[in-house]
Amino acid sequence: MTGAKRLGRPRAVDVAVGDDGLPVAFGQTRVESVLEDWLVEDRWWSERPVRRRYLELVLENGRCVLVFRDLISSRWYSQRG
Amino acid sequence: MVVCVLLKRLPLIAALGGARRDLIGQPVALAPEPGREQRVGEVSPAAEAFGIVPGMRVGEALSRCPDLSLMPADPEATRDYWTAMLDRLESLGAAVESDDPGVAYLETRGLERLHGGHLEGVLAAVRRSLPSAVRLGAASSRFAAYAAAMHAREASAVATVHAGSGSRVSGAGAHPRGSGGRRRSAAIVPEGAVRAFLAPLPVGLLRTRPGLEELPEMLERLGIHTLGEVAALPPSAMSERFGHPGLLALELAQGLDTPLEPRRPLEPVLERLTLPDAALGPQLERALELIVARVLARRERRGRSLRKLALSARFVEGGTWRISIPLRRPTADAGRSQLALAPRLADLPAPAESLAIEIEAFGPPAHDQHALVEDPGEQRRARLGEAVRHVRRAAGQDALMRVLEVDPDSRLPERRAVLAPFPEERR
Repeated sequence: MTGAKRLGRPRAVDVAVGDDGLPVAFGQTRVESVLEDWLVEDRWWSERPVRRRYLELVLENGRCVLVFRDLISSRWYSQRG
Repeated sequence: MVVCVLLKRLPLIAALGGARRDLIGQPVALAPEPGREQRVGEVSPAAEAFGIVPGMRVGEALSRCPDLSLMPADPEATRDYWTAMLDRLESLGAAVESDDPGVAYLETRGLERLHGGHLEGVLAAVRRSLPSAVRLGAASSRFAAYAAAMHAREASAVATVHAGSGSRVSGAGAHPRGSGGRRRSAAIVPEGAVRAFLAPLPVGLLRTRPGLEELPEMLERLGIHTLGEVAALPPSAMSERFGHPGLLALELAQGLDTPLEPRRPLEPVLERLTLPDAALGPQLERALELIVARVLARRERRGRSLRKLALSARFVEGGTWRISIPLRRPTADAGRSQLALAPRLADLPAPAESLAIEIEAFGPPAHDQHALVEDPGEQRRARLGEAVRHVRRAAGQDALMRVLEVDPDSRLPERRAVLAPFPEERR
């Protein structure tokens, strides 16, 4: 039997951003609006610090998705909140 | 007030037995217990003069004194002797605490009225009921009473320790009984003088308290040599540097201590089996099986379960061995008791002539019979467990999982929960 698996692991996604740095497309789907955004800084005392800018997006198809930009690697990820 | 009854070197005296008078003046130490670390136990005064202290490595002790004799311990004799002493103290009406053979504590509150209405009366009664080699110390705390007893010198008096006199115990008049033989004094530390009495004493005294064995060395390395210096330290600093042991040491040095926990009167239930020959492995296990059955059949058990047992043996070539075994769960089941005891037979260091089991503590009444009506929750869990096993057999080991919250308040979603295998309930 396998052991425990973490839930809600981040998945890398393609996010297109506008001139203001905010997402305009999530994959092939246009972003309708940004509901909320916040910053998470954690484990800054360790060798693997976490710096993320989270955004809660409403897509044009009505879906709500949670994405974040890793401020260290500058890559975009989606995550289940 | 707390009275400390101290009989120094009791395990060594018991081990020397009849040869005590001849050997106690020579460098003698208790040999390490079989299977334990190679360190000497109690040492005779002559061995002490060579710088040998209890707990020293055997190699170091022998290099300090090549003539040092190592005596095997006799825990059975020690225990029998000390139990008789405690029984005598209890016959005075005292509730006695004793975790180690050779040291006992009793609270005089409630006892003084029985013995003249004053502390000296209690001490005189204790003195009359015990051998003359016993040292007595009285103080408001257990630790201070022990320190007082340690420093009670040969004298013919009940001595009172004055504030600031430290380990000096001043004699005050003739002993009330006026016995011709030398008797040790009883050192009394008055209520308000405890802290001052402890102040000049070395921090090494803390070593006698379980859990503080390592602390004196660390304190000395930091330049703290006396209990007075410890008592003056701020609690926050002690707590930060040493944790709970530090706070305990601080309280002890300030003359505070935890209340006594007197022993419960024992109900001796012992079964011994003499072995025909020097028995080994399976034969010993058979003997054990028989003794366990006999112990469980004793009327004194009165349906109670067993919580703590002592397994002991007498060796063909003299000497004894004893080990206390607390059971993980109180039981009156022969199989479980034997399961707990049998592995310890392998620790027997020499061929045994007899094997014994003593009940050291009883548990609650045994409920070994099955319930008349089964608990519905238990049945449900059993059915669920069966279903889980079926599903896993059909769909693989990872077919049934459950969400386990590990850090639900984490700001990082991936740290909040894990998917873990669903546990199988077994009956």
